[in-house]
Amino acid sequence: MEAEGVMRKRLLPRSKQAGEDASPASRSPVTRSPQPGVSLLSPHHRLPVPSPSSSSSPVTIWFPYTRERPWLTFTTEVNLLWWLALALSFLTRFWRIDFPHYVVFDEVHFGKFASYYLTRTFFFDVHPPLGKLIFAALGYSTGFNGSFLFTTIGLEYPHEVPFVLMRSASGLAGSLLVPCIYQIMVELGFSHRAAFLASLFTILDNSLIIQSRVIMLDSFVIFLSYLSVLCYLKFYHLRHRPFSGEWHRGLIYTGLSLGTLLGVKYTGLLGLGCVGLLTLCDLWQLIADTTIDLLDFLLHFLLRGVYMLGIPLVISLILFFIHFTVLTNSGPGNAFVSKPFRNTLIGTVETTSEPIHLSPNTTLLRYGSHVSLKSTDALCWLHSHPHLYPLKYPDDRGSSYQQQVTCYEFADINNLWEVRRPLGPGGVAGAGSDSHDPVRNKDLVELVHINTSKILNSHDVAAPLTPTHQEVAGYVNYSSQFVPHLEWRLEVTGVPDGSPVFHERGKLKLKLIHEHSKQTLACTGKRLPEWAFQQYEVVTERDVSSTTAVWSLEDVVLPPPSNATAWAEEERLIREKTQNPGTGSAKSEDEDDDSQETLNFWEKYVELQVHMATAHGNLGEHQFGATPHNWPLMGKLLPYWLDEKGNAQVTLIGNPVMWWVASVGIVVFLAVTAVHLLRRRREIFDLPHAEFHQWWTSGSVLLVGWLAHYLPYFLLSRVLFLHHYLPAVPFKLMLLAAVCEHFYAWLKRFPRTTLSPIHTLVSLSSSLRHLLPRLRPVPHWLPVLLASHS
Amino acid sequence: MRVVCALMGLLLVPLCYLTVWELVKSTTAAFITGMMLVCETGTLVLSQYILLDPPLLFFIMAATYCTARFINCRDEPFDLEWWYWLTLSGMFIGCSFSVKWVGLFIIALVGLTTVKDLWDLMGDLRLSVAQIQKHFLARAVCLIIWPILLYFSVFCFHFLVLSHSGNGDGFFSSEFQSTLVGNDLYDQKVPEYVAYGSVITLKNRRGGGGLLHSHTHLYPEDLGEYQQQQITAYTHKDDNNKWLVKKTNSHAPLPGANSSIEDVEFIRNGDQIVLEHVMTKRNLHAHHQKAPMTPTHYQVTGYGENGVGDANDIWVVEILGSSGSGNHGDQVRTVTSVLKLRHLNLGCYLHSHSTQLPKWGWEQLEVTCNPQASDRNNLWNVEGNVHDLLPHVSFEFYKPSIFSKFLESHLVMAESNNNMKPKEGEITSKPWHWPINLQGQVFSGGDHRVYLLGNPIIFWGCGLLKILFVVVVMLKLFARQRGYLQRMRNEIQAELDVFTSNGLWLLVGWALHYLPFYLMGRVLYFHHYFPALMFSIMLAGVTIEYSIRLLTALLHPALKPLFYHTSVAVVLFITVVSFLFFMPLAYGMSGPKSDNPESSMYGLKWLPDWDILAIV
Repeated sequence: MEAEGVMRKRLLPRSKQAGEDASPASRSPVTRSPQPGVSLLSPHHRLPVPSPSSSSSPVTIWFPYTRERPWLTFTTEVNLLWWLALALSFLTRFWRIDFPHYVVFDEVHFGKFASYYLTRTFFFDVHPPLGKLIFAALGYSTGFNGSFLFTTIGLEYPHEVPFVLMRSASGLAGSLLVPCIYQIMVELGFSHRAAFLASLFTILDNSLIIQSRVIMLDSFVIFLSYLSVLCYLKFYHLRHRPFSGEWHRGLIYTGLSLGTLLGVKYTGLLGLGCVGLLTLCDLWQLIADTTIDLLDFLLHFLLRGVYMLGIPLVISLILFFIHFTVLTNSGPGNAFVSKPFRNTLIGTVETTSEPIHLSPNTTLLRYGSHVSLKSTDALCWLHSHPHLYPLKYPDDRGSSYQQQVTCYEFADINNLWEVRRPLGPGGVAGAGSDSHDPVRNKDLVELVHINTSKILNSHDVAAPLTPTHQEVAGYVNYSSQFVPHLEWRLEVTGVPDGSPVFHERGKLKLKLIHEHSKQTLACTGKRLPEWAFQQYEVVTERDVSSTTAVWSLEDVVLPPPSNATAWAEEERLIREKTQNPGTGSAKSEDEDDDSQETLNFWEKYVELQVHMATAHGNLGEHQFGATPHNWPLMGKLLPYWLDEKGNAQVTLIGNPVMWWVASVGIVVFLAVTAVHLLRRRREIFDLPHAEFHQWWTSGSVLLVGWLAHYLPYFLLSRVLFLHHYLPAVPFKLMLLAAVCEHFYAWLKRFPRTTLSPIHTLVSLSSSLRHLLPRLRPVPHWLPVLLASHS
Repeated sequence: MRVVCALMGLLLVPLCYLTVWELVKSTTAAFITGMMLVCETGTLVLSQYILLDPPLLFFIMAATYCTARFINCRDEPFDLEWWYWLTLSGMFIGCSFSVKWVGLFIIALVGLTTVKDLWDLMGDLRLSVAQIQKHFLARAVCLIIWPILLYFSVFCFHFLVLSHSGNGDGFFSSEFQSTLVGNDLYDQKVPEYVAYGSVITLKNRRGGGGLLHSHTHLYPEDLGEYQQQQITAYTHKDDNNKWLVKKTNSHAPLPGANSSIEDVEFIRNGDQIVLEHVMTKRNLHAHHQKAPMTPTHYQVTGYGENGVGDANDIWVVEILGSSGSGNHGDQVRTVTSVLKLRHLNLGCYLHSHSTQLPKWGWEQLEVTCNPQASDRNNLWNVEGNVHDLLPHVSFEFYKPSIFSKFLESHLVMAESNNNMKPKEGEITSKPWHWPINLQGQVFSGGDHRVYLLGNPIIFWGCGLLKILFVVVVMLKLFARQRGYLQRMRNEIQAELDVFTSNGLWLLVGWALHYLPFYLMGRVLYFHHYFPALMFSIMLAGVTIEYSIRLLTALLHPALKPLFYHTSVAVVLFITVVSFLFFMPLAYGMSGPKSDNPESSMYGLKWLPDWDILAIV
């Protein structure tokens, strides 16, 4: 992709005028387009065209067939600057990439996921599959079988793990970023000198180097973001020949790079937003072009949408298809997905089912059964555990200080409750209380938590998060003011009162009405704080018809039959007696596919996307988490790896001088632009129109790129790290290069200026290379210089 | 006081009326706006009570009006009227900022307007640069310096009036407190130096920092194996903030009541000391354990029985002199010495920051031991100092200037503003609730129920009109970009320009008073929306009038006056009727709830969330 972009780079004739009359010599597509005479007086600011610079474009291979030239003329031009930048970037990224031989930072995750792919074990991750698939494919190519699970940071790599190859994928992406930067600068109309300077800044930035040397996704994300911007700019310069082959191809390349970007990480949405903004600006200018009628304009609009959104969607579908095809075995991801989803995986185990035999088909629900109840609204199980409600809440309300009853999303042995007849007055068991009679609709029951033997109770105490509702607790007898009201009325809709309840896994919907208060058991869907392990709140609700109050009966373990044949006979009789055959027989037909229900690809795709979107917010605090306002000045570093024996370490740190200078560069850009605008307002034109226009539009593109990759993080509430800032960094560096060039051009106007800011900056950054070794005490690890210092 | 508030609320109506008139010069639009504001029940409720909102709204609207007037004076710069309105805008900006920091948004609006104005002036090449400089300076003085002076003098007045010690003391630094009459630190009532046997309180030097505090409660058990007594920082004065300074050798006798002043030994820089919590007799202790909220720091606890602890109770006193570190042997002065307390075994420094402990720590501030020596929050000073033997030497405390007092109180205000977290169970609202009037705010319960809820007709009407306005602006932009606009008749273009540019100004005003709330971490309430609502209503008035005018223009000339007047009447009628419906919310409801047919609000509970405590 990249190489091709370079190869198709046009050769502009040396004279500037030649471009306008589409010289027959230039057959390459771009030059044939009429050079737009950019007039600043028109209100429509367009992106500038690459300046026909005197320094040559990278490589041009040429097979012109014209009358003037003979067949098979072969002309090449080699842009040494470009190749130098490329070589330097490969050198910095790959130099001793095998160091350290230990698991570094998030290699823990991405290495592990690669291993899961190789063992075809289903896992769940918030990032889409492409990056991880690449790592897995590289592992597969060397015969790595995925047995190493990258468990902790600092673990030494065994011999068979191809971690160097995996890191090289990052390294390759990181290296190719540099020519992208170079090319973007050229496309934006900056000189090759500025382009080289920007590449040099990128090459020398420690943080980008480090990120290109670890098994993480960010290197791909950064590269692909810039590639899509580059593709878009190339496409943009084809705008004078709409709907031509090249035009379509340009759009397709843009769509492809955006698609792969979104296939690696969803932060790629920022890249999409950036390109989208540029597209919208372009479309806005197209409106002004009255030669395009509105239908054509609509076509312009739609085609861009289809290519830039449709291709990513298709790529995403393909990737997830591969993802599902590869991951056939159940694994750690099971807990995150629904039951039907799990059914598509081989070897799914239900965590609760080990000692339990599930009741087959519809059976009578009998007293003494152990059941689990699932809230149909919040999709969690009624749960209790041996922890009490805190004595006091922060707002000084008191709790009952009895055992917590919560709702828990995962299958757990603590979700099991015994359905029991209520004890008589004084806690004396009434007659026949130990018999396993069928439970009938509207019966009064008690629910006993099996593991803690506490009985489900509700009382007139405000619930922890919803003070307007009653708290539900496992009753603890403090022999104090709390009188237990343990009876609940079991209500099944659609079944006559007093008729026995047939149960069938997950299909029986019921409500539990607290007999004393006439309120109904409900899950509010609010998460309790740490003291209840962030499980959901359970309360009783005044509104009996509330949808949050419907529970489904999931696992049912019947008590061991005292007389199995008598039970079967009883069940048969009741079944016959029941006037409504629908509850019994009809249901038993679709019984089998109920638990065996599976999802097809589309359903799985949608479900996984939903889980991925909602899981982002649930990451907790992290020690090294940094907030976005720390990033530009590097307020907080991110340690990646620490040697256990020595004091060698790898820390994510930007090149401090460059980051700070570049941050200042943004302010300088704004200030310079403001001064220019004010002076132009007074009709003082320091710069020719075209030059100012190029400075203003190209600079804004870079600024918008930086902002688009930075500002959205302020709205995110999840934990963020310094490496989230990295995609924005090259934009900042490019802007710095642009500012440098601007000042250089300005200084050149004064004759005999010896001081060139560009030379100063180049020497500054190279001096930085010399400075770095001093920053770290382990000088003999040369490669680590770039990546770390202690 | 309610009367003054009501008067200010009352004045909002003429201000809105006049502002709209200044902008579009249409009596109809101004009258519709005025009527809508009159019939807005929420504003009515707000201006009935002694709250900060009526003066705030009044000042904001006054500043808006003056700015609009000022802009309209642009043809005769530097004449009396011009200066008058410019100065007045500056004054009202200063006033609104002095009432609440929300006034910042009106400053932003006026600022943007001024920038736009100056930009236009720049483009006028007839004006010389000197003239533009004059314009610029006049605005800088009247809109920046003058309001700041005003704001500053309000604060001076505040310090002047509140010269006595009160329950806000603990939030301020020791130096600040020494200027408050009645405070322990006022009038040199404490010994100059700290000696062994002194009972001291330690104040964190951070702006708004607390006093080192402990109480009988323990750290919760899930925080590690040691379940020891909590150490926190507390901003209120309390006996639990008192610490006894002891020698590391716990058997060494402290000077008792019958010893003489010669026995007193002063604490010097570099001394090793033990701090015993007076109320619980436990020593300040740190150990190799993660701090509860900040895992990179060590935990600080209270440890020991009756003042007998272990080696982890030893702290080294380091005094920071003016040069950074004091000389060895310097004595610790009350208030003025800046101290660091280094833990002898761990080498970390006693540290406190703005992180709050959860409810088990009573939401007091966390105290930790920070391994990083240079952290600014490691600095403490001795605030209270009691020693029976030491004379209360008279010496001049460092009295902070009015400027440093001003700065400090702002730090404290910013800190507490950001820390305003909702109490659990409290009804809070999100900014997106506001424009759609999703839920109100209970002002008074009981028999005479008052509920702050906007007039839904006006709220939703404003919302729809805002959307209409944006659509019109987009269409206009599109038409201009395509070149259609230029083909229209000039007076239509001019009318449209007046409408969109002034409407845009109001829309920006609305956005500036509304959108920043999305970025705020603090707890928000419905009444925060009302400044934005003023702009919203003005925009609605302008939009309604323009749309009626536009529709009228399409009709047959004979029908025009009829249609115009009928439409205006219908709009006014709807406004008034909706007010009559929702009036009971503001004037107080007694009697049955809204589900009862006899209630004054029967059938008017249009949204389910309007009954938070079953009031409506």
